[in-house]
Amino acid sequence: MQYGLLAFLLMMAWAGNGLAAPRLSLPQRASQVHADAAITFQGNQLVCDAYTTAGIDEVRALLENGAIVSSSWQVTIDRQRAYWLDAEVWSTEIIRQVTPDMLTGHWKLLDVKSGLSRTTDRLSEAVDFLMRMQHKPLLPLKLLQQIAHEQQNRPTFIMHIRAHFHDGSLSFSRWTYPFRLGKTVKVISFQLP
Amino acid sequence: MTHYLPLALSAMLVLLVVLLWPTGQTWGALIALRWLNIGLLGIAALALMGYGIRNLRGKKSRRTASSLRLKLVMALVTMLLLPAILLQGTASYVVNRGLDDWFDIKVESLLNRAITLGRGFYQRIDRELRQGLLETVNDASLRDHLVLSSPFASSDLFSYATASMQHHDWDSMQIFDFNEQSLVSVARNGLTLKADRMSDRVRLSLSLGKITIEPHTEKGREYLVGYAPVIIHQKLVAVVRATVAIPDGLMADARSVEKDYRKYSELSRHRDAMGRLFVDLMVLITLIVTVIAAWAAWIFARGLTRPVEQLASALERVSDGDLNVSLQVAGKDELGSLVHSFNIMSRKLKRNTEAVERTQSELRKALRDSQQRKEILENLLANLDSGVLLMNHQGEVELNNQAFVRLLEIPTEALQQIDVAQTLKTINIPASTARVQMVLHVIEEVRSANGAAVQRELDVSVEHGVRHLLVRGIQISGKGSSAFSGFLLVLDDLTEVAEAQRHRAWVEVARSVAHEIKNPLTPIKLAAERLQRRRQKGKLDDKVFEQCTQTIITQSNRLIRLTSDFSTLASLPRPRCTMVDARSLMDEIADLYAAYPRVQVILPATPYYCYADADQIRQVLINLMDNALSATEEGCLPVRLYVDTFEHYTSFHVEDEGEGIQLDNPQLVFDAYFSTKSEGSGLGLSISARIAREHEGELLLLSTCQPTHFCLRVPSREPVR
Repeated sequence: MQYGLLAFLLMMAWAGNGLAAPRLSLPQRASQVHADAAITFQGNQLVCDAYTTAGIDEVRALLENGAIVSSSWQVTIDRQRAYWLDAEVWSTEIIRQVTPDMLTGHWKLLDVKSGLSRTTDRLSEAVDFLMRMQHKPLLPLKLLQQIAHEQQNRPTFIMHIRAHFHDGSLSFSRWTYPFRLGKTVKVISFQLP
Repeated sequence: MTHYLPLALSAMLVLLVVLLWPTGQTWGALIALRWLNIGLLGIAALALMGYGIRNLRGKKSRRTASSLRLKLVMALVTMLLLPAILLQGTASYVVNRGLDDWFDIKVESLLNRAITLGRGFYQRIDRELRQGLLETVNDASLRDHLVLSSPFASSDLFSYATASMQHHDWDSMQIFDFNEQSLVSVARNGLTLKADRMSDRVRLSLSLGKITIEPHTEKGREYLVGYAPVIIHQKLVAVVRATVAIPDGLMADARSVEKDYRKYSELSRHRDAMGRLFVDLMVLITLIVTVIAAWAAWIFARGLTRPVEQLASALERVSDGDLNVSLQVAGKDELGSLVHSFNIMSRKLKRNTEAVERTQSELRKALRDSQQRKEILENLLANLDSGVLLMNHQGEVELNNQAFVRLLEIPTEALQQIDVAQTLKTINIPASTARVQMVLHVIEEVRSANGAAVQRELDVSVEHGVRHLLVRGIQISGKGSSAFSGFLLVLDDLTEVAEAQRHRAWVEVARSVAHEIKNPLTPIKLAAERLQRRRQKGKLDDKVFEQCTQTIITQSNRLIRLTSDFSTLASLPRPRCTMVDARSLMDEIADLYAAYPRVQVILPATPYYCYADADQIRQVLINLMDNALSATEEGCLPVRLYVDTFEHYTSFHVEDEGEGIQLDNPQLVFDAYFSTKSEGSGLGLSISARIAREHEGELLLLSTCQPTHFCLRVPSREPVR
């Protein structure tokens, strides 16, 4: 009976780990300036800077308590259209994960897509790794220029930046994507220089 | 009550939706599961609500099978839902209680202590490594060596590094110059000497003159890698990198504890979520099972109620008059037997209905014929001069024609409302009712005649005279319950016929009287003329005178007798009948004819009675005796008079042995003015026969000769009327 209950609890734990995803609360309005984003054109790259401070206390507390925390930054670029819904021209997702090492007091910072990782003994760096996207080259401008060239006029692009924080590991699994809803950090409208 | 069950279940599901409605801003698969449950519950609630409303709307016209199916499904779903809800409640309670008990144990503090122990071990190695590195970078021999010796003459440096590694119990040691070029590398037990590039953080620390220690994992083994700058004269000369391997067993335990701690913390954080997950999973499973069970129940109920529904529909069609209904027998169970019986019933019903329709058609045709016949009969009756009256045994008039009321001159309404018994009893009645009363008397006679026809002639006084009616009545006795029984009266107006007959009779009488009178007048005339001629010639002698006067006297007597008979025939009164002793009559006749020795009156030994008018019977008997005596001569066989009785009649017999009646039709003797005697008036037997008829008897000629036998039959008692 006890083993059965234990097995059931472990199953629940697995299910909770896989299914339950308390969302870290983000500011309801952009005017509260808990989140911001900006883009720059550096060379032939579109570079993005974004951050959010919403839920930073919860993230910090989770990391201090040894919980694995992941962040998912979802960036989409749409071409604005006058009479139709905007057409998505590009999108990406950046998943980052911080795994606390409770024995050494370090935090392992992992970029899931590239697999690059590093460790830090500073909590603030770990939190910053999750909640900030700094000078992130997103895509070559050539791609957007090609799209602009196909259009008659000078198109306007809309960039949506959404951030999603997750208590636990995240992967690029197709099945979990619908649950990585994210919260919009900023919507940036821009035109190519 | 069953009709409201879907709505009640729908309300229950709506309540469940309200209870399950998520609060807070939690997102993820768990909340998706909750929304899935809410969606399913909402769909089920809406479906049940729609079904319930449709049921209530079509409550009156709903078929029996639909209601039965609903009951079956609801019963099965309820039977499933109730234990499921009970089981879910119990399981939720047990799980929540188990979670409380599980997390009530101070596992977290124990794991925390274990982590603290591991961390302390780590920190001790870190501290020793840090201390060793500090000692090494401050070692004068190393610093001298780095300052004085050439970097490429490193044998001494290798010896130093080896010694230092062994001294500090490190697993590897490397010395880099300020360009991160390796000056010397020593290692134990095949540990790789290839070092990763220093991270920015390490470089920063080294530039600040700090010792930096980083964890490192290689081939599944963990190490602590320490970097220490060798600064001589404020200048970074070299970097010492030392590696210490964490003991495998200890590390495995520590990582296991860390893993467990992390898992436990996760469990603890998701404790509420687990409870909700359990509830949602159970609700989802219950919903799915309920939906599947309801679907299965629906299929089962449909299979069970379809024959009933078909049967109900077929019965409805049959009740609407469609008898061409035949159901397919689905199986050999009770329903199949029922369907089979229904098919048989339907076929029989169809056959019977067809038979009834045929009969109805025939009856309709017969009715048409009957109506046609009735119309013909009514036309016939309406155009008939004879009055017709049909009366049942209760005295109610069933049918009469206009001639009937016209002949009796009575109103039709009076005839329809007539009360027979009352009318017959009433004495002082109006004239019209009196006429009806006369007719009703005939009906009473018919009733008494035991089936025999009755015929009467009535003189009915109407407004403008007297109407002579011939009334014929008969009793109708129908056979069978529906046959008519009653009395039929037919009235014929004989007034004109009687008048004509009377006129003809008078003509005949006048002719006969003239003839009869003429016959004696001729001899009287001849005798008178003879006397006149003789007187004129003077040859009137006594003989001639005597002959002529005798002829005149004889013929005159004949005329007197003739007129007397006519007078008798004309003034013959109706008989006043009483009970008469036939024997006394015979005695009177015997006394009357005592002078005639050949008359033999045979008196009866016992008295015989008859219901008659004694005078008229005596007149008849004298007439018969006179005829018999005139037909015989002296010395012949005697003329016999005797009496007997048979059934209800008393008969007087007169026999003689004369020449008899030599006629082809002997019955002519009863006609008036027929006589075989030269001096007879021909009215005697006619009058006698009339007297016999008025006594409701008869005068018969039983034998025309040897003997000539006449029989007078009169009733022996008063006839029952």
